[in-house]
Amino acid sequence: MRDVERCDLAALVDLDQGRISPRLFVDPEIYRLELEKIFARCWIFLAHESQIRESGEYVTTWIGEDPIIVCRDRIGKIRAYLNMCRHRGALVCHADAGRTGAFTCRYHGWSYSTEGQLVGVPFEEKVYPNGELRKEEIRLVEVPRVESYGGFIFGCWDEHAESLEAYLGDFRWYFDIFLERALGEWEVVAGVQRCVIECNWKLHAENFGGDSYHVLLTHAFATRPGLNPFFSLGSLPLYMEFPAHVVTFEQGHSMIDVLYHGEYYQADLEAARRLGPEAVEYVEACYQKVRTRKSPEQADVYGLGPGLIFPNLMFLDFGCLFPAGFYFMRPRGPERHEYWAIHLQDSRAPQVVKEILRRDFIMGQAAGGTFTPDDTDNFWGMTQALRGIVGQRQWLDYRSGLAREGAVQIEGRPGNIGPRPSDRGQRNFYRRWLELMTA
Amino acid sequence: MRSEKQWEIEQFLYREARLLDERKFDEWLNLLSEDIRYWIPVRETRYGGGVCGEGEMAYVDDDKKMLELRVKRLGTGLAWAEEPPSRTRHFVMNVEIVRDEGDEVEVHSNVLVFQSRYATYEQFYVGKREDRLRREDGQWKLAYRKIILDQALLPRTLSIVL
Repeated sequence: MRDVERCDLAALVDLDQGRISPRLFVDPEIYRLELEKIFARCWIFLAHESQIRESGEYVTTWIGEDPIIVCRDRIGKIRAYLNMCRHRGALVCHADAGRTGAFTCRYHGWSYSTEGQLVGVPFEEKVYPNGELRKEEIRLVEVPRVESYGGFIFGCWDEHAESLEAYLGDFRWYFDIFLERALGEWEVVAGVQRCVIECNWKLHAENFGGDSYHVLLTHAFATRPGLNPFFSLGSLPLYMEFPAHVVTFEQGHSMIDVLYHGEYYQADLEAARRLGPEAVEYVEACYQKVRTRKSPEQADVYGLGPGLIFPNLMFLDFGCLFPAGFYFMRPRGPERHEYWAIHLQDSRAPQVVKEILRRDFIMGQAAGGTFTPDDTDNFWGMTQALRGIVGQRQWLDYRSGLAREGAVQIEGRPGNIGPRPSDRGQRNFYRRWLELMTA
Repeated sequence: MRSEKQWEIEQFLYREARLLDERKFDEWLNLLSEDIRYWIPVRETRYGGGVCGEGEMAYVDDDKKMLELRVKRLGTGLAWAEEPPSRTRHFVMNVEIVRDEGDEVEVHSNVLVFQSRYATYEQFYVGKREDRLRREDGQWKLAYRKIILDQALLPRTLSIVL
């Protein structure tokens, strides 16, 4: 396999013309470089704080193809480690989640504290007599930077990286709307949906981070009478007629359905009335909380819509009565990734609201829902076509909105705002991707 | 001695499996009681179980209306994950009546579902079904189904009935 050179990559991403080479989605060499240049350098979502509340609680996840343990140590500090014994490299933790006092390798029994320190070596005196092994010098490889924003834990292998706050950048102004909207705490509904998807992770990232176009086509069924699976959203204008815009951020994040003046709030209120006064009161309280604790401008945005936190955390949020979903991708080769669907709920939402949200989450954008399977069947098909040698000589078209760049300005709203629908989110994603890959 | 009831229950489950494989979803819906719960909780790798419970995450947690919506969706010609349709084969085995209350029985069985899409897109789903069947007007109906998957990672997005 030949090396992918810098100049090669730049020739594959032609943002001025709005076109991208299919090689980005099938080439093993590009994929290998991504693990190094993107996953081992960016801030990567690890877990939500509600999943590990107590000392010793842990979840396991992945940064690129490296297995990671995220845990609370004895004093409650959140730490992340490479899930790899320093002796011969075996996993020291085998479950998706749980609670433990130590991470013990089952191969030779080396045991590490939740602080990452090697504390136990069986038969130490026989195997390493006369101090051959200096336990105190051996620790699990620790992810050097672990920071949280609003309960979302991210990790970064680059010691010199900017802070998580700086990495989220202007997106924080929007993220804060979501975070502030909960009357209680956001907490993960126990259990993470996991499924394999046969396509490059970027096809999925650019779908959430840019593609409002496909919604009425791939998901056309939902516009048929009686087939909208969601309790809320019914009163919004037809999706393509949304008075919405795309917001992109320097760091590669994007949001694709940001509305102007409280439309998501009005849709929520209307849905809440069907549920009764408790739900109406709840929706109003959430709106007022954002308004007073943040700003009226932020309260007006109210829901974030679909979007992407670069590189591999997608989200979907249309307000209090639409299920909040965060979707993590674990890359597994150039033509495969895992999709982990995580549903968050406001701990103080009324029970009737919680139950509707859980059902809508399962029925909508989820592994067994009515939306995701249609997307992924498309992605599988794209992968079949993009793999061909002639297919790889073609360009894929990302030109929508090229002639409308910078056409939208909204007072008081940060980020780069642009027209919707357009491929602006996708172009922003690949701009950032290229920047990191050629750095 | 093999009981009549065991035979009836097995025949019901085989017929149900055949209707799903023949994609006769409307007929399949007729086998379900009005108050059915069709539940596939999320399975995780954990010490001591890992099957999600009430109020926790599931791949499917449907009442009759939701199942009808899924079937109606499949009939639109717009459910791309099943257009053209997958070929499926349901194998129902180890059928065991674990509780018999006359007109309502609890039946456990193992289920193996093969799904083939296009030429090369194939997978298996494997799990245990915990069903409750109820006799209504002389006909057995499925009133409750919980499928405990053996898989903590689905082999693809789920677009078929298990």
